[in-house]
Amino acid sequence: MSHVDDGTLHAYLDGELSPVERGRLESHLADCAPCRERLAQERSLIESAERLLALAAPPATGRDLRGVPRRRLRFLVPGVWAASLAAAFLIGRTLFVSDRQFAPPRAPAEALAPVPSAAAPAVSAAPAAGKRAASPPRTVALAEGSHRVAATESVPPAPAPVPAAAPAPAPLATPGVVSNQAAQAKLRGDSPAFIPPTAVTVTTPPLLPPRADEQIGTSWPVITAAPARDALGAELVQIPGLPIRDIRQDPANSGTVLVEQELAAGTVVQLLQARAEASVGETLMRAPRTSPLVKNVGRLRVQIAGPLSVDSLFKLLEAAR
Amino acid sequence: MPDDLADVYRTTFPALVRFLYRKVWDAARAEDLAQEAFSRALAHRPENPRSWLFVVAANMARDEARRTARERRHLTLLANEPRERGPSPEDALDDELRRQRVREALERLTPRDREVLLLWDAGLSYDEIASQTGLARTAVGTTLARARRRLIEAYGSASEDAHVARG
Repeated sequence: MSHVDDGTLHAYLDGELSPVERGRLESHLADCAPCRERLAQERSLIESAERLLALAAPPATGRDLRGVPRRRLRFLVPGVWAASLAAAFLIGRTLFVSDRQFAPPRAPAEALAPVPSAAAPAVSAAPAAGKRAASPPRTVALAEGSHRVAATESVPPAPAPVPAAAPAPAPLATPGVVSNQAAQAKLRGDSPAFIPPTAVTVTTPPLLPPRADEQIGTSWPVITAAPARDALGAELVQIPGLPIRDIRQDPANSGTVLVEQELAAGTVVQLLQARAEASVGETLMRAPRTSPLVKNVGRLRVQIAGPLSVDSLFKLLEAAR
Repeated sequence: MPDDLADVYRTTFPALVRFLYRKVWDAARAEDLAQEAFSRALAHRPENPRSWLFVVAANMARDEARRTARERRHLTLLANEPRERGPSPEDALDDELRRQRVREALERLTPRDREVLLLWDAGLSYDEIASQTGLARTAVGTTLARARRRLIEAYGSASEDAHVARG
């Protein structure tokens, strides 16, 4: 075998050679000191290039997100909960941390005994990770325009908890009663079923001024799953497959629980949940009037939030169980 | 299906932001574009969402670059100012200056070398890069080798320029 070209060495170091090619290369390297030396040079070249690219990583600071209006969702009084006097609101936070750890693993090219630097760490993974991992959390303000909501007058008070699966008596579609097929259709990319605005609910003027940039829920005490279940009287609603970062409880209203799940490194989706039949007086309600981001899941009313498009959030909420 | 969705998001979104950032050089804008690409992927449900996302992102970045070319030139001038005022030694350069220098180095690469390098850095495989750029798979390694070398050379010569300018 003649000497190896740069492209093959890079493909080897990148873990992109086929097993056959790799075997051929390694047996050549075993006999060829000059090529081993070049391999070491190319390895350090790759590391240098990755270090340089890491310097040009997007600046991950809170200041970049705070100014982005599209992530600042406006919370108004929803018109959808005619009978289910419940609450949920949505908050999103992101913290951009290391993303390299989520890149597909690349085969380390370290198996070769005769190579002097064979003990060096895997090429692709190491250099980029550290710097970004240190980035501070960033918080997106999503509560601008949020209002505390008082009782609605046209809705008869629920004397006792109603059965979980009972549909809302009001003649409007709640997001919780979307059929499975409809949900599937939506997940295939059809337009989300926006909840029709309704006049059923009489809303009072906001009791609180808009609280822009407030980190809602972030100061809420973190609790464990068991008390959260007790507070809700039901299993926590969550998006399957995503790690739970925190469970928090509204200190002012123990029946309101916030589940924070990590969608990607640094992207947190929040599921605010309360019993669907909870008394309105005990509940904060922050959601856009036509929000597709609230729905009943089992006995709970859940609202989703996160630094994603409404469409994406809607689809994630559809997956929540 | 929703799990797929989350997986794609998890594995791709940060890399997509990074990829876009190195094209538009505006972190918030890069995030917006990445979200937009992701939203489109949700609607289109492409077979290979990851590759698809990068194709869409590259196109969006190209459109973006056309729209904001003038503005960006201005920003580049502004970003260059600290260097003209008197660059500090390498260790003392702040992140922004380093970033700017890497950016200049990247911009000295040929479009194809740069694209391959950024796609690789974004986590795409040789196969994915090949299908996205039209290169033969065997040419990806060669292109990457050249792109990496040139990036380092360009960065080094920028540092030397700065050194010379400093006097």
